[in-house]
Amino acid sequence: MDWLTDPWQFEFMRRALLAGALVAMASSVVGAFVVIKGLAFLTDAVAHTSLAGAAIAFLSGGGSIAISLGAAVAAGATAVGVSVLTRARIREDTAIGILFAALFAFGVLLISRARNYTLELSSFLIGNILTVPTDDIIVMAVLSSVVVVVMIIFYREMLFVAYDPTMAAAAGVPVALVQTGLMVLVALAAVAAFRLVGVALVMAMLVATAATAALVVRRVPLIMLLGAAFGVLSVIIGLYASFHADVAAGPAIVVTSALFFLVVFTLSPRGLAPSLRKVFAR
Amino acid sequence: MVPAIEVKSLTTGYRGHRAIEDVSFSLPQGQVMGLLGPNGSGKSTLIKALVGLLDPWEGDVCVLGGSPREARRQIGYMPQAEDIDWNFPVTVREVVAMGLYRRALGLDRFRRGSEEKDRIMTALKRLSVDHLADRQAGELSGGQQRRVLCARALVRDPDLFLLDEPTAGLDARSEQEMIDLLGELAADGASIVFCTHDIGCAAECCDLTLFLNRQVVTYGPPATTITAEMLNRTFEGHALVMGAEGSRLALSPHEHDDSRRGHEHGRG
Repeated sequence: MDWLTDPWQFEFMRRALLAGALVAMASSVVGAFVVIKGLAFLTDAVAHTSLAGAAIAFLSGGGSIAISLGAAVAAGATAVGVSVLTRARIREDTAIGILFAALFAFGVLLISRARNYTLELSSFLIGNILTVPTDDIIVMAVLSSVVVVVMIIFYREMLFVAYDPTMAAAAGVPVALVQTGLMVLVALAAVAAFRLVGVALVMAMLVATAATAALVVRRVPLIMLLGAAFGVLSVIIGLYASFHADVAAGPAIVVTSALFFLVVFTLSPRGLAPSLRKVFAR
Repeated sequence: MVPAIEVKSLTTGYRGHRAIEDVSFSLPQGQVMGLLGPNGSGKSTLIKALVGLLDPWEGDVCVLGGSPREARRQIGYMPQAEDIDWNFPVTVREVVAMGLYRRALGLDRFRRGSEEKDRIMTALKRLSVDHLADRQAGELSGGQQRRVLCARALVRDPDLFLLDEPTAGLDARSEQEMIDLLGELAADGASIVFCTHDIGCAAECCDLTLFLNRQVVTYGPPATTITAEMLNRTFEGHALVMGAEGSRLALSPHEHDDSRRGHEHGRG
């Protein structure tokens, strides 16, 4: 049974597990709304645009905290920008598309000035969970806690606005503020996840676990809890795979969470069987 | 006693499109008012202006003696069932709990006593859907979904109900139950405004009917307003009068077929 306990003798593995668990919780809490409201594209966009802020901080010689702060600012700005553009009668996917491409390109452009261009870029793109310094873990813990606490406090408003914005507005909920707030939470969760699995795979952390949970339970708080459980399990299994098979940890975590989805989808009464019937129905 | 609703020369709409113009009427408290008109005539717009979702461009809206925003907690609003995402994973109980929403800061936010639970169950019982409390809202039939939305509107015991098509899509029996409920609520002293396409239903249960076609065509007790001439002027010749007695009137099926498209046009 050594293979079960071996990995945790190393401090970098224990850190990675802690970081991963924190991120999984924050991801599934916002992920539930991302999946229900179809915000996956927005999530992917804020993750990628966070690169611009991270790159600015990185090139100015900032440390982990500065890089995460820069990423959070850029991601938050994207979320607010999409919210503003959408209210100016631009379709949401168009608004996201413009900001996504522009800011991601800007981020890559900045990093291309760095001396170890490809090395730095790949660490941003696919993450470096096994080498996260303590500072990064603190940042992830703070971001994740903020996301979870804000969601608990404003859960009623979030649910009401997501379900029925018209009635929510009539009841006096500041709908635009709550919708923007949700996008900002998505951005913060994305930044927390980006140090773990990298810019390119953030979307999987936020979408896959909540989507898996949504196949099993049909209430938002339960989707959040079960999603967190799937997330933490994916992190654990991914880290084992990384340790024993010597593969990159971030992608291993993401592939595991996708496999969870596949298994649950196949077994779920709302999953594979009825979908196949629909696809092949005449 | 202040009127439940006092609207003076109201003009409003969406994004530069004038949906209703120069609408004036007054509804005394405890009365049931039916709002009738073709699709795109501004019924939902008027309801939204009364709830405070749309501000007047011109004119004035006074609800229970104050602005719609001031009166918010005394209003029970029921949006059209079509406006709601029925795939959303919520239980019936959670939907009705939204009707109890109040702004609160600090620890007060987390106080959800047994009182709230009781109110939710009372509202569900009143609509005879209490046995569905823990079901997914999306799994219910159209009629049950409308009852749930109605339970959400009445869970706070409001003084004024603003109901957007509460009887649309209901079978005859459910429709009659809904009409009886509106009667009970009015007997308890509540004022009610509801939009409907069903002229027969309006003739039967309303104290007052308002015919709207972007402007007020006519307003008064059903006996004086539901006439062939007014129907023609409101529906521009598309209403089919089934009986001449005034109580058994219905729209042509053509009208119902167009309801979805017309609704979107109305909001556009």
